[in-house]
Parts: sequence; C-alpha cells; structure tokens
Amino acid sequence: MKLRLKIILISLLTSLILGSISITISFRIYNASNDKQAKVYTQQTVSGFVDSLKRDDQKNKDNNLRKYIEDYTDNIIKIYSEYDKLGYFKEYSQSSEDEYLSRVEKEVVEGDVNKFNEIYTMMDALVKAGSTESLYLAYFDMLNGRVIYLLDIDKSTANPIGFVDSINRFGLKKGEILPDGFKAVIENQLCWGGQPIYKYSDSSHRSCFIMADVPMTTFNQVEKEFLKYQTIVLASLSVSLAIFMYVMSDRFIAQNIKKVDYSTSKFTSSLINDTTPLLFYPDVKSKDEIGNLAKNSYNLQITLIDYIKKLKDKTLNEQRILADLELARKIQIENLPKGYYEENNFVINAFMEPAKEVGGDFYDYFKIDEDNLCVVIADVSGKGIPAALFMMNAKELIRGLLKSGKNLKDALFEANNQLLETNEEGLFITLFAGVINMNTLEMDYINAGHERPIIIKKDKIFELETKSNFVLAGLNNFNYQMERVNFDKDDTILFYTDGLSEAIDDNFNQFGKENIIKSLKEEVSLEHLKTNLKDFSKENQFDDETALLLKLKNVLSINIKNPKIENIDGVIEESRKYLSFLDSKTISQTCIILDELLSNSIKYGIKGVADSFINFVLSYDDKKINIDLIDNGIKFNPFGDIKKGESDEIGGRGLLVVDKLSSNRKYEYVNKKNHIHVEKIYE
Amino acid sequence: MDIKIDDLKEYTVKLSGRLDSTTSPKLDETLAGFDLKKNLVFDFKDLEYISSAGLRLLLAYKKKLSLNSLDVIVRNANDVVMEVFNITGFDKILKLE
Repeated sequence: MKLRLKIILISLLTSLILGSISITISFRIYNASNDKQAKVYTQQTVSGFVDSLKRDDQKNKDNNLRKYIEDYTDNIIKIYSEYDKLGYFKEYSQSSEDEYLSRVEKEVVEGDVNKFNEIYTMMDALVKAGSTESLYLAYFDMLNGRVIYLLDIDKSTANPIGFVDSINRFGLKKGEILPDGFKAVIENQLCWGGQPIYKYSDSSHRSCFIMADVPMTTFNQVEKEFLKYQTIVLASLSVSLAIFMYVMSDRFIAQNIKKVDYSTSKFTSSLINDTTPLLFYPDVKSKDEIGNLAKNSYNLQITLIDYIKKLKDKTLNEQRILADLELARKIQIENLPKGYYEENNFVINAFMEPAKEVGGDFYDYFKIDEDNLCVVIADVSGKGIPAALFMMNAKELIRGLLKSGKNLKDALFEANNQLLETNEEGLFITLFAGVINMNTLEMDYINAGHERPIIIKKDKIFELETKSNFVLAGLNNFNYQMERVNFDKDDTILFYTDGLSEAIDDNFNQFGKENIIKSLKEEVSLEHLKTNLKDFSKENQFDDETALLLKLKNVLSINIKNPKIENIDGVIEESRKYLSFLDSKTISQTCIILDELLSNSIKYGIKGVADSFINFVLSYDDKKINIDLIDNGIKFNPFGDIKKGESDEIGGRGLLVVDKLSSNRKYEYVNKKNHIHVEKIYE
Repeated sequence: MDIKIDDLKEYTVKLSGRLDSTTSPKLDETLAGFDLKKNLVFDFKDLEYISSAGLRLLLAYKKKLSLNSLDVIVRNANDVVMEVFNITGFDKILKLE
C-alpha cells in the first residue's frame, strides 16, 4: 500500500474516532443539562401555581383561593369517605365508580362556580403556556394508599374529578408518611413533581398537592435537532481534520520520503548502469527525522561511491599483484633447469611444486665441466616472494662459484658468507649439494641440514649416510664437511625436500620417508612418486614439494686419441661385452653399425686432422641401444644422402647398412665436432 | 678371424668370426697369393657377420674372377650376413649356396 494511501486511511480513522468520542461526550453533557432543564421547568410550573395562591392569600385574607381549595377538597373527600365507608373502593366496579363520580361532579362543581373557574383558568393558563402535559390537584390518602384527583387539567385526557387511583404510581406505599413535596423526577420520558397546597394538622397521612407532568418529548425534540447539528459540525470538523492531517503529513512526510526514495533509486540505478556513478541530492528542507534521513542517505551515497572507488583500486591492485605473482612463478620455474635432461651417462627428472604462487624450494643441476655434474636441492625457510628471491640468489651464487672452479666445500663456504651479508630477513637454507664425476662415479657431497638422498641400487634402497652440517646462511665462516660416496652404474639417486616427506593427508598423517621408499620400490620413477603423493595428500599442499631423480646410466665410454683402424677391434670387443645380455643377432648387427661408423670416421673424417679423437659412448635403456660418436674430423653428415650407398662408391655402402640396421639416426655439427647419434631398438 | 683354405677343384675359404674393417685387410692379404684360376668359395658357416669392408673384398674378387669367367660363391651365410646382402643387393650379384 502506498504511503499516501496509508496516511489517508490513518487520518480518516483518527478523525472518525475523535468525532465519535466528541459526539458521545457532548451528547452526555447535553443530555444531563436537558434533564435538569426539564426538572426546573416542572418545578417552576408547580411553584408558579403555589406562588399564585400566595399572592391571592395576601389579596383576600378570608375568602381566598386556598380556602376555596380546602373546602373544595373537603367536599370531595366527604363524599369519598362516605363511599369508602360503604366499601366502594375495595372492589372496583364500573357502576359504583360512575355513581361516585357523578355525585362528586354534581355536588362539588355546583358550589362556588366562580372560584372553581378561577382556579381552573389559572391552571389551564399554566398548561397552555408551556410544555406541561398536565397540571392537577391531588389528595393523598396514605392510610388507604390512594390518591384522589381533585382537578386535572390535561392536554389530552384529564382524569375526572374525584377519580381514585393507587399511590403506587408516585413511588409511595400505603401507610407511609407523606413527603413535604415531590422533587421533579424523570420517569418513562415524563418529568413530574409537586408541592403541597396545605397540610392537615391532624394527620401527616393525608394532604393536598399541586402536581405537574411534563413530557420529555419537548426537550427530546430539541435534543434531536441539537444532535443533528452537532453531528454535522463534528463530522465536518473531522473531515477537515482528516484533510488537514493528510495535507500536512503528505507535505512533511510522504513528499519528503518520496524525494529520498527518488534520489536513492536514481543513485542505485546509476550505480548499476554507469561506469561513473552519479550523486542524487534529495531536496528535503525540513529539519526533522526525515530531513536527517535525506541528509544521511546522501552521505551514504558519497560514502558508497568513495568505498566502491577504494574497492576498485584495491581489486585492481590485488589483480596486479596476482598477475605479478603468476609471472614470478613462471620466471621462477623457468629459472630452474628443465624437468627432464638426458646425457649419455645420466638422466635427470625433477619437479618443483610451490605451495603458494612462488616457493622457496629449488633444485638445480649443471655440468661443471665435461666430467662433473653438480646436483643441488634446497629449501629456503619461509615462502612467498622473499623466499623465492633468496632462493634464486642462492642458486645463482652456488652455480657461479662452482663454475668458477671452486670445489664444493669452498663454494658453499663462500656462498654461505655471501648470503649472510645480505640476509636481513634472517632466512636460511637447508641444502644438499653433490658433485658427481661421471667417469669414476664418485660423488663429493655436503649436507647442510637437509633431507638425506635416497639411493636405489639393483637390490636395495637406502638413505645416504651424511654428516650433519649447519644450514646455509646460518653462521658466518662455517666449515661444511664434505663427504664422498661411490656409485655404481645403474644406480639412481632421489634428492627431495621435506615438502614430500611431510606432506599430510586429511587426517594429518605424514607421507613420510617410508612411503617415498615404498613408491620407489614399486617403480623407480618421479611420475609414480608424484602420483602417490597426490593420491595421499589430495588438496592439502602446505609446503613446496621438490624432488630430483638422477639415474646413472650404465654406459660404455671409450675415448680414442689419434684413432686408427686397428683400434676398432678393441672397441668392438668392449661393446660385445657391454651388450652381452642381448641376443647374438642384435649384438652382431650393432657391431656392424659400429664397424661402419668407426671405419668411416677413421678412414675419411679425421684423416689428416691433427690431434684427432673419437669419443665413443654406447648405452642402452629398456628399449634401445644408443650409439654416440663425437669426432673432430671434417664436417660430414653421413646420413645426408643415403642414396649414395647404393652406388659402388667407397664408404657409401656401409652407411646404407647402418641406415637399414638402425632405427634412428641423428647428426649434428657442434663446436667443430661431428656428433653422430644412432639408436637401435632391440626386443 | 680364422681363415682356412681348401685347395681342390675350387678354392674354399672357411671363415669364422667377423669380416669387417679390421679383418678384411688380413683376408685380402691372404688371398693375394692365389692365382685366381678356380672358383672362390666362401664358407660362412662360422662367420658371425660381415660389414661393408668385407663386402668390398667380395666384390673385388668377383670382379677379378669374372675376367676369367670364374665366380665367387658364398655358402652357409647366416641371417645377419644374408640381411646385409639383401640390404646391399649382394644377394643378386653373388652366387649363394
């Protein structure tokens, strides 16, 4: 329901209630005064007659009206008494009443006619003059409980003279003492009252009264008129009040609220639709609560716009930070070496899963020189940008120091001191670093408070024994103890951070070293480990998870200086031994390939080249044999034009055989060296 | 590589081991003393494999003998050797028994 309609209804209801109340109250007041008026009137009528008698008393000392009434009364009572004694009034009968009444009329009125007429005229005048219905003289016989009508002037039907009636209608009872007078009372729309004309000295049980009956109808008529006018007046007052209330509340409430409503809804739609929301001022001048509401709603608009602006800025900022973090993550991951790297004698698989956008873990691997491979795995205390920056710094520092020719011990000593110089955050690193000589398969390593690597041999899996050193970036001039271990070909080493071992499942159980080892027993692969870890911890990644798996391949590596044809035999013999686990056909075919490649290189490639060499590497995995030849002979791609092999040209035929007996071939000329790579799939 | 030569109505050369860039020169040296008046039979029963150096030698003797209307005959070649012959087309120019 609209506010305006509500106000109208409330106004109407209020005026209706007010009107009803005021009408009721005023009617009550009026009614009371109406009764009083009737009583006074009755009293005055009676008094008027009595006063007339008094005046006449003074005028005529002896033969006055009062005296006449006395005689008149006595005459009637004499007859009444006579009949009473005869028991006429004990049992009512029409004939006896008629007899009695006719006798009274005859004897009484026949007396002093003048006096009778005078009284009659006096009373008649009083009746005719006003509202009095009837004025009558009555004799009260209390002993018998009767009233006898002496003279009755009535506008309608008068009682005959001498008419006997019961005193009950005056509220009196037989045998009671007569009152001094009847004060005016209202009964059944009739106001009546009376005063004694005289009293009998011998008895207080009988007396003569002048009585008046005044009907209330006269007054009630006036009352109705009054009520009509009063209702009209009050009703119109109520309607006026309703209109007034409506106009006022509409002006001071509804219209103002409408203004507030208008400005607010305009503002809201502007907020939704416009890129730049507009302010709408509700023009409310009143200084009441609605004025405050308007002011506050306007302030709310201002605050809201301000807030939205701040929120937008904040959101933009956060988006920018998120984008930056995403970029940082990319940079960090790109900064790490690839997750897969393979050379003839080793394969590396690695991953780093930061818990946040960027992490504090890192792995690193790089060749220090031809023979030495360095592997580093580390965990910076803390996460996020500071840890990531510190991590990148540490990684580059260690890399640089080792590549500059320092041994591992000196490199970490130096790195530790340098990191401490710029470490105001108090970050530190747990780290494991190892340098592996790929020829001797010896690893020099330092464990600076980090998880011990796990070594997987053909027949066993165990943790590498390490001495405990303090963390990196912990203490200045700390001397890290370097240790050495010998690996075998085909060994695999897992380097990892505590993010793996301390990964938890939904019930806060740790993944633990045991599960890492279990996974490695099932399958020596990082993919498998990762899958197991994900299955275990599901969505609960709280720490960076980093691991590096280094597989030392079982390779045959022979370096021949100033090679001659005679050297080929030795290489073939070594290769046969190396491949002895294979079937003889595969071995033979591989040897044919080796013979062709080596003889080709010796006879033509390096012919006449000073300090010539051939680096020969033979390796295998579960599917294929890999042959790698590097020589410093003239640039020549043996697989460039195989068609040549079909001719009789020297050398060509051999390469055709290589082409057919191998499954894949690759040629590269790098650093003035021919790199030949040939693969042969075996069954 | 072992080389055994049976000198009857034809020269039979029994080879064992491998015929490759290392051994071919030795065989070449051994065969140099022969007069090329008979067919040359290579018994490859015990030969493990042959590389292009061996093929070259076979081809060289085939050319020499063909001048005297004689031939090079290969006997008992194993799978590996046969495959090399197939690849190089020697199975078409050599008499294989």
